[in-house]
This record gives sequence, structure tokens and C-alpha cells, in this order.
Amino acid sequence: MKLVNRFTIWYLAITALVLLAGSVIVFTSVQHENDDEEGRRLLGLVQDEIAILKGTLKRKNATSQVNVKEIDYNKSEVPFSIVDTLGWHSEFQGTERELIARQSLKLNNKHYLITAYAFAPEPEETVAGTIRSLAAIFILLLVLVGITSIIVSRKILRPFHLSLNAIKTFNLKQRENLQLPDTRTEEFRMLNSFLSRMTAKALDDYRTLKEFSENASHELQTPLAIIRGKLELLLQSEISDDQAKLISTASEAVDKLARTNQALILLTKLDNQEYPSQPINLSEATEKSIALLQELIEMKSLSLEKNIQQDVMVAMHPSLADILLMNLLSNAIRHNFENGSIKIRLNKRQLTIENTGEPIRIPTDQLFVRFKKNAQSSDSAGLGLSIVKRICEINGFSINYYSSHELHRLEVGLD
Amino acid sequence: MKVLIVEDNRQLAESIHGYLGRESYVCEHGYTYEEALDKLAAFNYDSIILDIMLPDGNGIELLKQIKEKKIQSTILIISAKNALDDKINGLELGADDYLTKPFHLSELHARLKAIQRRKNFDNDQLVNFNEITLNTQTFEAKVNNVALELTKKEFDLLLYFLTNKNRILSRQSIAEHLWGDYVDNLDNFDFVYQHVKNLRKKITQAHGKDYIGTVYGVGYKFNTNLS
Repeated sequence: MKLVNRFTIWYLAITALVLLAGSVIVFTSVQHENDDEEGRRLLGLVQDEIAILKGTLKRKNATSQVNVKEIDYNKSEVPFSIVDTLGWHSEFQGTERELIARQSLKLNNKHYLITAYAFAPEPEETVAGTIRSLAAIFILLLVLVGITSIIVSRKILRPFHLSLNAIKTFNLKQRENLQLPDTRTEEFRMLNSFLSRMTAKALDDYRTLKEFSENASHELQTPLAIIRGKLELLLQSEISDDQAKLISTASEAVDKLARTNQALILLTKLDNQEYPSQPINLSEATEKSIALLQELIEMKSLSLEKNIQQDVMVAMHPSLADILLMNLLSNAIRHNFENGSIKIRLNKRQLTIENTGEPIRIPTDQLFVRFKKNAQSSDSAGLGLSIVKRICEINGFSINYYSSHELHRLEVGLD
Repeated sequence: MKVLIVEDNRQLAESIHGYLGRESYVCEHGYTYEEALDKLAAFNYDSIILDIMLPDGNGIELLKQIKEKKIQSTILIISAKNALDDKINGLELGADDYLTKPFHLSELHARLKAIQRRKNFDNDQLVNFNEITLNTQTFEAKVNNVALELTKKEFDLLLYFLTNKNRILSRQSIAEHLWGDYVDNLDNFDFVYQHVKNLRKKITQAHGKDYIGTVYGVGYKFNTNLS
């Protein structure tokens, strides 16, 4: 739920409560005022009547609301009082709430009882009126708050949304500082300054790490070349067979080190996006790669089935296409059985390579992790599929691996 | 043949010198950009082995100088920088080939020979040894003047052996020579074994001598002095 919606709901809930309590207050005070007013009017009527009886006021016009009758003189005088009762309303043909005011007066040896009547609004009517008006207020509030919240979220929360978007698009690998908008809101200013500091630190660390691994890889190249050269020279000198074997083993280890190093350098370069894309014919590249590996396929007596659509064009660097294809194809050959099979399918949507081979023993999602291998002792560096994955990521391809028992399928989505 | 080795790392330069020296190459060194320029001004070389990353000036710069001065040597770039840009730059500026460090010395030698053959295309397209003749232009191999049916890889392999005669060639160096950068993903030793076996069979079937010997656990060697 959006922040602004939460605010609005809380606000409206509190408003509803306040309005509810308010309606009780309004009701009682309206009722009270009404009764007071009516009481004063009745008092006026009674006093007028008394004045008429005393002869100090002339009757202007008769009113049915006032009634004067004589009662027993011996009764004590009744002071002014108002009674709240129900009376028959002839116009409405029903009982209505009625206020009755009474006072008796002893005058000229007669005892008069003066009674004045007034119909008062019933509580239900007041309640209904109160509720109607408060409901109208509530609806008005609802509409206004709704509109305001939209405006508020657009305007006040704008810097927040901008910051969110900036974080969403932030990528360490692009090596650009986070651009955050200026804002006058204290909280957003704090958030932005925190984000800026954090990302700057992350960028800095990332850069240091990158530089280190780049330099380390490059610095390794020359010593490796020296070791390899010296071992080779040593191999050509007058040595025994046993010595030759020792040298050879050392030299194989150096080769492996050199290859791993080169793969790491390639991965670094992929991260640095040093390979601009250009349109290439993937069908031709695939055919070429298959041709390069043809002998290896034959040597392992693999049956090859290919279904390659003509002129499938993709945008990527030609070297990366070669590396991608060679990695995938040589994997399919390498991890295959003698007399196994390879199926290669290429169309505009995807490239699929399916091969037979031992079931894999590690979780499939770890296949693309650097240095993860099905058999840790195997000769490869375990970087081939991470390179494949990185190439796919750079070119916006998807890559998926499916396996069922002794059948393995790699799909590269080209869309 | 005279070769100028432009490489700032003395150890590496000496290794190259050591390997090529045995093949009747005359090698000289230029450890810096300036030294290399001086040597080039004073002497003529058939080939220049050029490290692109020199301490006092870029090797690419040196390459431009060589081309400007119309020096006719073949140029083989060696570089630790596997950057594609350098490769393309170097080849566009007139280098003949490009080799990435670390390389096998036998591979360096093979490349040097190959570019040399390409340059002198008016004569030496044939590589001869006793009864074996290879035509590097038409990819024809003959033993006792009878054509051998060799695959492209077997032809390359035989040429590699003939270039590095009497040298122990390790299985890795052969694998890398035949399959280049993609060797990592191959069970290369089996494949090398297969190729060498086939090649030997084809030569002996054509009544050639079995020059290629196995150095157990290491690799192979083309022996010129069979008893």
C-alpha cells in the first residue's frame, strides 16, 4: 500500500471517529438550545397571559397555545414549570413531543392556572438532521482528502520517487555516481545524503577491487610467460626421461594457471563492457564453430544433428559470439559419452544445444557460478559457463539450463 | 636469419633468444623503445619480435615508426595485454601476427617461420625435409613425391613438427597450436594423441620414415637422426 494511502486512511478513520463524537455533541446542544428557546417562548406566553389577566396588557389576538382555567383557591400557587410529554397533534394525526408550561396565579380571590403548549422537534428528527449534515461533511472531506493525497504524493513525495528511481537504475558496473534530486524536506535530504555516501563508498570499493584484480591478472602474465619459456628451454636440454616428466607436469600446471588467468581477464573485460556490439550473422558463426570442432565430434563418435535457420542476425561483438559458441559446443562435446549425440538448433528466437552426458551432481543454478564444476578435480578452470552467462547478460540474451537424467539442454534466448 | 627482440623483460627476452639461437637465428635485444629505435636505425633485421607494452614508450608507437621508415622486417607482436584493440590496432598498422603472453616458444617459432614464408612468397612456399615436402600455400603434403591425404589439422601438425625439429613438443603446446584459444575446453591430450597417431600412420603407409617419437608422459619429438 502506498504511503500516502496509509496516511489518508488513518486520517479518515480519525476524522470519522471525531465526527461521530461530534455528532453526539451537536445533537445534545441543538436539542438543548431548542428546548431552552421553546421554554423562553412559553414563559413569555404565560407572562403575557398573566399581564392580560392583571389588566396591564391588552390581548392582541387569541392563541390556541395558551389555556387559562380557574382552579381551587385553596391550592397553593404553582410556580412556573415546564413538562416534557407527548401530545396528540391534530394536524399530523399522530403523537408528537410536546412541551407544556404551567403557572398558577391568585388574583382578585381567584386562582388561575395558566397552561401553554408547544410542539417540539423530536430527538429522532434532530439526530437525522445531524447525521445528514455530518455525512455531507465527511463526504466532502473524503473527496478533498483524496484529491489532496494525489497532489501531495505527486508533489511532496516527488523527490522520494526520484531517489527511488535513481537507486533502481544504479549499477556498480556503470561506475557512475548516483544522481539525486535536491529537496527541501529534511527527511528526504537525510535519506539522499545517506544514499549518496553509501553508493559512493560502494563505487569506490568496487573500483579498488576491480583495479586490483585487473592489475593482478595483467601482472601475472609476464611471470607466467617467463616460467613457461624457461621450462620449455629446460625441456630441450640434455635431461633424463624422469626429469622431462617433472618439467612437463610443472609446465601443464603453468598452462592451466595461464588459461585461468586469461579467462579472468576476459571476464573483467566483459564487466568493463569493452566489446561494442555490431550486427553479425549468428548462423554463419555457428556453422563455423561446428566446423572447427568437427574432428573432435568425430573422434568421440558423436552423432550431430543440426537445424540451423539461415541468416539469423543478432547484435553482438563477433569475438564474443565465437567465444559463446565455442564454449557451449565444446562443453557439449567434452561432457558427452562416446557414441553420444548433440543436437544444435538455431532460429530467430533461440539457440538450443542438447547433448547426452553424465547427470550433473551440483545444483543447476550453480553451474554458472565461477569456479563451480561438476567434478572439482576436472582439468577445466570452471569459468566457461560464467563467461557464457556474462556474454548473454551483456547482449541481453537469456540463458537457461535444463537437465533430465542423461540429457542436457542449454537454451539461449535471443529476443 | 636476424631477429630483433624488443622486450623489456630480460628473462623473457633471453628465453626467446635461447630457443631461437639454436635454430641458427641471430638475435639482438632492444629492451627499451629508444634502444630498439637505435638498433633499427643501424641494422637490418629479417624479423622483429615486438612487445607492445614497453616502459618508455608504447610498442604501437614503435610499430608506427617502423612503418614510417619503411623498414622491411616482418613483425610479430607479443603482448600481455590480450586486448582486442591492441590486436586490431597492431595488425592494421602492419604487424604480421599477434601472440599473447604467456606463449610457447615453439609456437613463437612456428609463427615467426609462418610470417617469414608469407613475406617471401616468391620463393620458399615449400618446406622440405628428406622425403617429406609440404607446400604451405596449397596445403599439399608429399612423401617420396606421393601425395598424402592429410586433414587440415594433420597438415598443421606436420608443419609444426618440421618447424621445431628435434625439439620436445609438449602435448599442451601442440593442442594450443592446433586449437588456439579454445583449448581450455577440450580433453586435449586424447585429441593430440589421435592426431599424432593418424599422422604417423599416414606417413609410414606412404613409406616415409617414422620420425615422430613419443616422449613418454610429456609429448612428442620429430627426430631427424634416426638410426
